[in-house]
Amino acid sequence: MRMPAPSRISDSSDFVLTHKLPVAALDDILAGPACPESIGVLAASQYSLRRLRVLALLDRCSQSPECERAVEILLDVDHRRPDITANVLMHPPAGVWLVRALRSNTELGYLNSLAAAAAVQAGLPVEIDVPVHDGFACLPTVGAIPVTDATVTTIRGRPDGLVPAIRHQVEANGISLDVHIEDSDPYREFGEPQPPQLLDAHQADAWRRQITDAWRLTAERHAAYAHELSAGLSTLVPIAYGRQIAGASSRAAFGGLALSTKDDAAKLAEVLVHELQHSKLNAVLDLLPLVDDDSEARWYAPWRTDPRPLIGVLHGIYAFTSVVEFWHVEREHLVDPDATRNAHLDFAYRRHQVREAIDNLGHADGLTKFGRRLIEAADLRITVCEKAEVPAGIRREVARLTEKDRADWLSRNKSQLHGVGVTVRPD
Amino acid sequence: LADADDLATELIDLTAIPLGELNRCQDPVLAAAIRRAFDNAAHAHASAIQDQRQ
Repeated sequence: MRMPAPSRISDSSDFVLTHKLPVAALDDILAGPACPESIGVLAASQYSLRRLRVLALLDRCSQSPECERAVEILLDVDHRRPDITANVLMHPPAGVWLVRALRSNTELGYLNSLAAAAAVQAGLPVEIDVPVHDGFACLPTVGAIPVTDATVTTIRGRPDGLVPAIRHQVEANGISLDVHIEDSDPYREFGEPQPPQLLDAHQADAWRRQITDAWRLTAERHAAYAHELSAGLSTLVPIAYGRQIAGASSRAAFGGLALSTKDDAAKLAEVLVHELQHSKLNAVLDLLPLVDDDSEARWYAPWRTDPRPLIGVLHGIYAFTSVVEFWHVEREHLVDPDATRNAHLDFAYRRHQVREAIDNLGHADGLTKFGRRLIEAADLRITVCEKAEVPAGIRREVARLTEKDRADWLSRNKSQLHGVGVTVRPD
Repeated sequence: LADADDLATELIDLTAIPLGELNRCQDPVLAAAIRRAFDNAAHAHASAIQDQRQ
């Protein structure tokens, strides 16, 4: 794919250029699994956004002496080894922290952690204090250092006692995956800072096995999705044992996803595919508007129990269309009767939900031309899937489930039908 | 949309310019973008967790 040349903003700006998104890349992204070049366009724009936020933070930090050393180191590493700065700043938790720090002007100690991590990666013999939380100092992308009875520790080169960050590399069908299994960064779950939950050797091996199995399945049966995951997925966050979260992602954390352990490789592969769709769409949203900002209407999203804003429904349509395509293929490969039945059900149930949501948005007036283009692309993709047969018993089960979903939703949200612009498709 | 088009965006390309140079830069367009970054960050935080299902 042709890469776009950035455009010059104005004659008064000597070197300031803006990103462009080729229509071909947008269409490639909306059509489902995106090629590595399209992912590259999104990743580059996300890196610019991170750097812009760093600059905003530096602007604010210029009044804070405690940030001085971190700024000095970060700028030095960026000058010497921009590849390392990119690696550190594009770590998904760093994106979450940047947004939090800009919003609240607190938690600035993490800037020291980033600077220390960059210096360690670059092999620079610098000295800098980094914060300690819950007995560990975190060096993003590098690892965690156990520290007792202190709130700050001084980093001088590669620290003794470092528990290295877990990386997992796997290749199948000629497609490689290289991810961090992130268990120590305070911002890894995309929200409030979390204490580290370092995986022991047994737990780390279990995650490696799960990811390897899921990757083999994805690369062999869903190669196009494997290619986009290979280009776009950088970090997996194991959700603490005992909490069952299907999957989570964040607009501030391109390339990162959090998830609980899964029963089997197909379930994990589905989550990888699903969550990367959110990551891609979030990156598109940082470039182009899909909805009008002032739309306050709330909509029926068949996969949710609460009324959703238009952008939330678009996210669901986009992500679940990929889930439908995943199960469309996956169900042909299964031999276990229960797994096959579940795959048929996931396929047909999600297919019905996405169709309902697409039809429901047919009269939405808050969509931009890009938002409408997403709906048109999803409509085409689901139409292809609708040509596939499912067993009669599954069809009946889907009809029962979707009727119940709608009835439950209307009952639960009756009080909100007036006043907040809840919109449902009239039957 | 014509297939051959590149869609223009407002996001400044900062991938290849050293942070130190950018930090010293007095460019008014960049300064305005930095101011917008504060507003956008507040919005981005509000929508941080995009998908979290039981």
